[in-house]
Amino acid sequence: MCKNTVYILVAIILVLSVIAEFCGIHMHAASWWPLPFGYNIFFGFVGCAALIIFSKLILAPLLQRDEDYYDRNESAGEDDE
Amino acid sequence: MNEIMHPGFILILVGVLAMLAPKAIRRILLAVGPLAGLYAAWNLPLGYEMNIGFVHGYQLGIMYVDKLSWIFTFVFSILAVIASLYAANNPNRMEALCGLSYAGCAVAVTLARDWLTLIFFWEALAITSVFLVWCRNDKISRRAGFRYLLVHMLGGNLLLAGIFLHFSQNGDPIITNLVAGPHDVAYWLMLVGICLNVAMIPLNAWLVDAYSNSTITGGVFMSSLTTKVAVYVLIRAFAGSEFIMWGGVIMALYGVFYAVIENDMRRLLSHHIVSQTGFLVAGAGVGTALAMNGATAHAFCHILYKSLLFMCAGSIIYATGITKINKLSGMAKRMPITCICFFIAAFSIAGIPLFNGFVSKTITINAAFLAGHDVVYTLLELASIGTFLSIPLKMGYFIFLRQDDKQIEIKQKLPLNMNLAMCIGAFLCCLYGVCPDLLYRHLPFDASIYQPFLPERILQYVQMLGMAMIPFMLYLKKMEPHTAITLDTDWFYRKPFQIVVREASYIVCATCSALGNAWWVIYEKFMELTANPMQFLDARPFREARHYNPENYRTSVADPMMVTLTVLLCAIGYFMANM
Repeated sequence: MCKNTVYILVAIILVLSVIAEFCGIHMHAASWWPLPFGYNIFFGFVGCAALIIFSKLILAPLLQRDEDYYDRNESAGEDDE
Repeated sequence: MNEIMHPGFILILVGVLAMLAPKAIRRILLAVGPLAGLYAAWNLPLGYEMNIGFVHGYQLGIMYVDKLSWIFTFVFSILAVIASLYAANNPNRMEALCGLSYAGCAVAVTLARDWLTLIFFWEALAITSVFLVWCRNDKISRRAGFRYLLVHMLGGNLLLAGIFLHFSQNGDPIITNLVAGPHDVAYWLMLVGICLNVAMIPLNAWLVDAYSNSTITGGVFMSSLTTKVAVYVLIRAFAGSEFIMWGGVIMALYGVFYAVIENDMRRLLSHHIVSQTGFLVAGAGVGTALAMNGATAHAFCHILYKSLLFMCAGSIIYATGITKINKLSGMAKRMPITCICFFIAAFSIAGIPLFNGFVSKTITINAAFLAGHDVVYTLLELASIGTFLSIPLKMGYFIFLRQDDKQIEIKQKLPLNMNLAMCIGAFLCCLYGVCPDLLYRHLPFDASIYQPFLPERILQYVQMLGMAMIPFMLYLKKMEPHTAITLDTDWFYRKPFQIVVREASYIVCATCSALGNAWWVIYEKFMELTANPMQFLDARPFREARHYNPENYRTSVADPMMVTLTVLLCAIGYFMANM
């Protein structure tokens, strides 16, 4: 799956949806602030980027360990098998 | 003949028969037996109740059918049919018994009318399901099973204690909404016991730990039952509690964050059980009729697509023996049916229009907005984006679509029953996605009619999810997971608590042994002293005198000389004084 194909596909979908939004489909004011034009596009992009950045930059270094993390010390007191 | 039968007991009976039957008959029983349970569930009349006498005139309400319990019973029965068909080629007797008994107990909890019946099947749920982990029969799953059992016994006992306290305060034995009542110790004990089963943060780690270590077919049962049964009880007894609403929102986001960095297929899917269950819990917490309808509908759809996802992951593990995402690629060509079913389930969980997740998830989100919880609404939308990111995009791309650069050997072909079960699951996901009325007409609460396919709502999801693909493609290289595990809240009982237990048992053992030694010394001395009264009278008790030695009994020469001299001196003194 080529990156450019995806970008073009997303661009086409977004252009069509924006045209539809212009042509009279009104978004509900679905938030505590009045919903600006293109809010969902913005929210989709920023939300997804924020999720990736937070998980990869903060959670992963903080919480990820080698796969044998739990087994290393457990084997000391283990008489299994 | 009475037409009304308990669907849960039918499932348990089929399980017992399947265990006893020889292999060929067991296959047939597993493939078609649960259909009897589904038939019984479909035919349950609303308002029906069945009670059994218990001690002191207490009536156990083992079956009470209203719209809420009916729809959960129905979907659990569908799941039992699909999962049992998927498991039909599995030769393990124990798994056949435990899988179907587990589903039967889930149905029995759903149909229970009073707390005592509920707690009985609640505990049975944990006991039957732990064998689905142990049946994998290796060291890792044995340990995971023990952890699962211990955590669930804790939850079950908290609930039991809560129920007893509730009874002792003359609470209603019938399961009714408790939020309006007093928020006392009994209330919180029961709530925490149920929240443990629903995998609320921080009581969530058992889920990922056990589900990813279960057997292939066991995972399909487990992914759908325990948490959804608990959600049912939350809707019935704790709807409208703000505590669980926020708990649900935290779950929805927590699971998403973990899923982004997870490498193991079934662990990733398990994180998404936490996340999706968060939607259900939040729906129950919002507590309006529309929100609870949303939670019910989403539980229904969630069971269908999540079991399908677990079946797809299980099929890949069955065929290749690989569980890690970074070791897989290009599976679309090798397993086309699994690929199609996976994407149907993935689009369903992501809430893409025309798949069943869209028609149910949006009800809850919408209901939160209508109830004035704007922050909840926005955070649940964010969790939806995260779901789209980690399942269709991450799993779909890295497992199925990416360039085939790894040597992956298909060790065994999928049997017909596995493919068939996946196709039925995929068909149901599409069916309810296209014809949501099939589901909506059975929803339990009286809410305004919900229209899922409003143009603006479809447009909203198209824009939001379409745009979410861009960051994924931008960070594509970074998105590939690497070999690692992610610490979860089980760290607390697997590391520090383990050390505490180890040290505490060391101290106890050391104290015991020291006390034992001291006791032994005292005992020996006591026996020695009392064995021979002469020694005791000797007034020198700690003298070494175990064997007879005449020297010990001979008076020394100094003693009579001293006595003689003393007497002599006294006599001389006396005479001198009287002279």
